[in-house]
Amino acid sequence: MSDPQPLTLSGIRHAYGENPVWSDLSLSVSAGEFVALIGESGCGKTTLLRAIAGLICPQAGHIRIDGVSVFKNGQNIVPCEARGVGLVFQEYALFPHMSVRENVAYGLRAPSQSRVDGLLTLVGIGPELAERRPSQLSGGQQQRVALARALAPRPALLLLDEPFSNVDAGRRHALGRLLRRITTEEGASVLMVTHDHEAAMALSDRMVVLGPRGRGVVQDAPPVDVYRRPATESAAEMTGRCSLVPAEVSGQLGQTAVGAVPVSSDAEGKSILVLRPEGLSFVSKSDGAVTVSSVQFAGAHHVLSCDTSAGHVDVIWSSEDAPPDVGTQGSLQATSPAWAIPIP
Amino acid sequence: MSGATIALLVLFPVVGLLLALIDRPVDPFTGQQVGLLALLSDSGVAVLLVRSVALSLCVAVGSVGLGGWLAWVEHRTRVPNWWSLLTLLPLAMPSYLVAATLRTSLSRGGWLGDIVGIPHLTGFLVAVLVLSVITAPLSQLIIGAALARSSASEEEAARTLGSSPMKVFRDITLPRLRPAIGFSGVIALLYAISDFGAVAVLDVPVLTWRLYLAVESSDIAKAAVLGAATLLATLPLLVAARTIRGQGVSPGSANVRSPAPEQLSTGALWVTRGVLAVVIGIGAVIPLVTLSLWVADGIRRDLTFASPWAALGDTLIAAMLGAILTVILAWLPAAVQARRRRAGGLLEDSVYLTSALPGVLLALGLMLSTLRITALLPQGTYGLVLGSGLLLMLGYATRFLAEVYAPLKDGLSAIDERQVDSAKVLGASPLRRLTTVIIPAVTPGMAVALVIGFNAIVKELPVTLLLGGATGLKTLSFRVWDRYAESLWHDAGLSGLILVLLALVSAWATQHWRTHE
Repeated sequence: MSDPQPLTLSGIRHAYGENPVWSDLSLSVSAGEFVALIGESGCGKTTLLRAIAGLICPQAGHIRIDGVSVFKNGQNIVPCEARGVGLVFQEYALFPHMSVRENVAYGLRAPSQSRVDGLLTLVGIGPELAERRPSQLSGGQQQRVALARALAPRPALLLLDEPFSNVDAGRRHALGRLLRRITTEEGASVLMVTHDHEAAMALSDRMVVLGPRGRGVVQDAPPVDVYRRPATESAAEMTGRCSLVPAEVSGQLGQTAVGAVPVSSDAEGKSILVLRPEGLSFVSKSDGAVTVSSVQFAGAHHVLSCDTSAGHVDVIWSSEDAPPDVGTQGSLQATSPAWAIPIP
Repeated sequence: MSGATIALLVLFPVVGLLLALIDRPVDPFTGQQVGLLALLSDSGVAVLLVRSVALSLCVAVGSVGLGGWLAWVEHRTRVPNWWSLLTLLPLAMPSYLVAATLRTSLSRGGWLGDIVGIPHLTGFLVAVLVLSVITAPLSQLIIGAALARSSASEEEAARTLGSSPMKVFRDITLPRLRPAIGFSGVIALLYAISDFGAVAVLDVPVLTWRLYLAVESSDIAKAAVLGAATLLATLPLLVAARTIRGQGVSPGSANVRSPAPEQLSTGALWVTRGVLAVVIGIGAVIPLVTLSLWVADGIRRDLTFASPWAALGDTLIAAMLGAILTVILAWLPAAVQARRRRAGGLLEDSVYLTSALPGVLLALGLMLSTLRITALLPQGTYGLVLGSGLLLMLGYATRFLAEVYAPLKDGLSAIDERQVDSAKVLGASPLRRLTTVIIPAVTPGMAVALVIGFNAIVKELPVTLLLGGATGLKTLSFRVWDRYAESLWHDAGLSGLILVLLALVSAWATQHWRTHE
């Protein structure tokens, strides 16, 4: 029976010499789904994309693309060029000796002017740029050409390797919106590797969090779940600013060094509480145990960094009143339940 | 001093040759005065011209083919690196030495003659083989550098877009290598059309060899005609070299991830080993073994060896003085060009043009230019100039100007004006700025330039033969040539071995300085 999933990985194992990259990694991407793959540096995110594309051969496991086994038992059954995946490289890898148009048309089995023109229009590259060489384009334009080139053969699966790493912060949101719109219009299933948690959460339907080397997938859930209910401390830290505070949890209340905090998980006993800054508030109190150590303006709000007996804790100050001065003493109050990660 | 003035000085030898041509020289075969265009219609010169060009083209194809394969083996396969190091050995071998040792060893009576059984190993095809093997390491280095800069990501992108490995090579890898292939081809063409030692030893009548004979027999009119034909054959190559150089290096950068080397199949591995064995065998093993056998034979037969120390001393003196003069001569254009912080232009073109000319032609040009000037001076001045060694040194300097110019310009470009300004702002005197900022920046480049010049002069033959005879300097290359012609092989072998050793040491020194630059 054919597998309807554009991508299914099961039991993938790989190592560089003595260093394991993954010992038993499994994940899948459904049709039309946009999946973000996040993880610490060196956890094998890019290596995984290369394995899926057939550019490297893992040691064991099974990879199916569009229902076809392309890798099994340590052997690439289908070579890279026949897998029908699109890969957008971090450094774009455009062919410097070809024009923009030639780059986009490169992967087409039968030359199709209308397909190339259509894609260039879709990614916002005007006809005046189509005959230029990649070196004559800006970084953002190059990335859009790389995306059009990868999409041109209508791949079953589009792999994106750090698509925002070479784009300045101001353009990331616009580029992210464009990326999502284009992949939706093209009906492409996407697996995106990124360090940018904001982009991952904003764009993806599902986030897959890879643990440190050898640990494989530690969480596979929609972005809201990964943010609010992270499976590990590193998943919590990778999805946004947070403070990790040791606690003793009992009956959905966690006792911490900064006071009692309501907890939304079913954890019991020794745990780590994930305190998001927007779930806390600071109340000035002359005899308080918490001291404001720095105040940062972040546009819509201020971020107070507070010294507590449990270490630094960040708090959002969203009041229109002026934030407290550095050195102000006070206490912290939880405005929403924290998430508790049990300590095994 | 303007760039045009410096260019004129650099082009001094070429000017002499051109002026001699304007004098409407006498055709050596018809005895009539001819113009430059009439040369081509003359069958004698035309045959030499066609043979020289054909030889160069064959060598270029052989060199790029061999060198390209060696570069691929070095950068894209898991063949041990020491093989690739060995294939660079022919770079230290003068072409006449390789040709002479190959001819005697493989011909009947030679140490490999019984196995190979060739009556007389001479002629066009042998010259193509010898010159291809000698120039292959240059192509290996040039194409290898381009291969090292090629991007793995681009090739992987092409594969994910459905291209087979062969199509990836054709569409992605080859276009990246094209400038390097073109440039190494032109370098091999220039080398082959300039070569005089190997073609002379292997009895291939080409322009340079005939030009040498004409100059040696003081037939200046004939030499001028043949010189013009040589210039005619060389100029298109120089234009081609300039065009390719103008295109810059092949795209890519030193920071890209290179494709991972692959394991060769058994068949490909054996073919590779065969090619490597041919290159190393012809370019290094046969010459070194043959030279050693010549020396051993001399000892066994109790022959008297001429002391090599005088030749070694003369070589060291000539190479050191020549290298110093070359650096001095190259300093001015390098300094001007480094200050401009750009490549190309009349000045740089004139440097490359002069150095790319065949040594025989350069020597002839220098003689003709000097003759014109000394004709205005008291009689005997030309003989004095020739005997003083000044012309020989100028010959070396102009012949190797480009080789010395490149590292010197790099060194001078390394002077950061902002550092000099910083030292000035910090109160350093001009002398302190010179000793603490400028000289440390220039020293590595200058050292490399000196060693490169030294290495090139040690092996040089045609300029040494034509301009060094009157000086009394008998360098090692002169000794090898002279003793080989006299069939005193034991002496030729000893001088040859010392020459190769000296070339290897200076090549190592060049590499050492480059690494520590």
